[in-house]
Amino acid sequence: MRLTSITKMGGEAATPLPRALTEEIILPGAPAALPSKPGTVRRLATLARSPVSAARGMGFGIRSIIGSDERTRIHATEEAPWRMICALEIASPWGDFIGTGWFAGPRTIITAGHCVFDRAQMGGWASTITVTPGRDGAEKPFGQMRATKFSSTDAWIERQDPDFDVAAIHLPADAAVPADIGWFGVAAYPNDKLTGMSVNVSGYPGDRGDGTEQWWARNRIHRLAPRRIFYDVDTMGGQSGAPVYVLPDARTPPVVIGVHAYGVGGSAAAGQDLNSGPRMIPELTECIAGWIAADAG
Amino acid sequence: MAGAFVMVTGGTSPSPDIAARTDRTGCFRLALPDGHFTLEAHHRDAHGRVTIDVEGEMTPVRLVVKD
Repeated sequence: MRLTSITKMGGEAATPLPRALTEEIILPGAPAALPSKPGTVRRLATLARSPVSAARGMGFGIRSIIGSDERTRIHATEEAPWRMICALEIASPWGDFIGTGWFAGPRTIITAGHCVFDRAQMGGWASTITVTPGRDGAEKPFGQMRATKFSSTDAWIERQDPDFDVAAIHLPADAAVPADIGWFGVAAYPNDKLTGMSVNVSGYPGDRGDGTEQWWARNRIHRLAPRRIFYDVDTMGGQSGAPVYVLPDARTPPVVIGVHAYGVGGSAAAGQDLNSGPRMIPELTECIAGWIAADAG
Repeated sequence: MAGAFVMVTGGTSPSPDIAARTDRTGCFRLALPDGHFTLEAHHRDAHGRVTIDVEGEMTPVRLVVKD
């Protein structure tokens, strides 16, 4: 049986509000996750700016490209943090999909819950996911790994609750994961720390290079809900599961504060043209810590 | 067309930011709530776009991809 675990989060059918977050709860990233050259991340913003523009609005609804398309292609994918971000090729009973994942531990890839389990779209659990860290077109600088073991939260599996749309891909023990690839830190930050922050989202969209090219964008956090984070960072289908991360300082590995999941608003109630994903809250960081520990054990 | 990537690029309701890959017969499946959506398909330099109204169980979609 491929369904190996559902991580219980302690809640009953009605999801309680997350406990009050007054301090930072952090899973540290790997030292190898430090950007290879100080300032690399910011300088890359000037490279290969997308010539594509999209007029704001299409006459209805909401769009995942907000205003002009500000995504930038990343070519130096063998460097951190880009190498810790993975293209996902997802095979499921009802068809194939692409998404994005990121290293949270030596053998643990975090992604959106709907990249590993979706009853309506996939027919249940994914069958296999092929993980390619730092893919850049035909280049696969760290090879490929095939995974068949996945976990998600009970709130996603049982209720498809978008606030808990998070999952883990467990790489097999014999997977050839480069030792120095590194992993992101994960943090549940309080509102006052997140307010006004700029966040980065980098992943593998299907409208560029058929899901083989990594594209990055950065912009502001616009709205915080207790379990969701809303931002005007451009994304496109295939970037589900991408890390929503911040760079605290040059000596600290990048820290993930959310998992990108919804490209066209994510919440009708929000009433804003914003992309979104589940926010890292203590319950999720504990869940992710458990997945990492299980893979290490 | 086989191997094209289909995704939601706009709509009146939220949807996951995943992309479906068309199968050998050019078919794909996306789960969407009721509402009005724009879908795009991409395959190398070709692309196509369609707007659809989703209502009820199944909404057949024909999406033409051109260079």
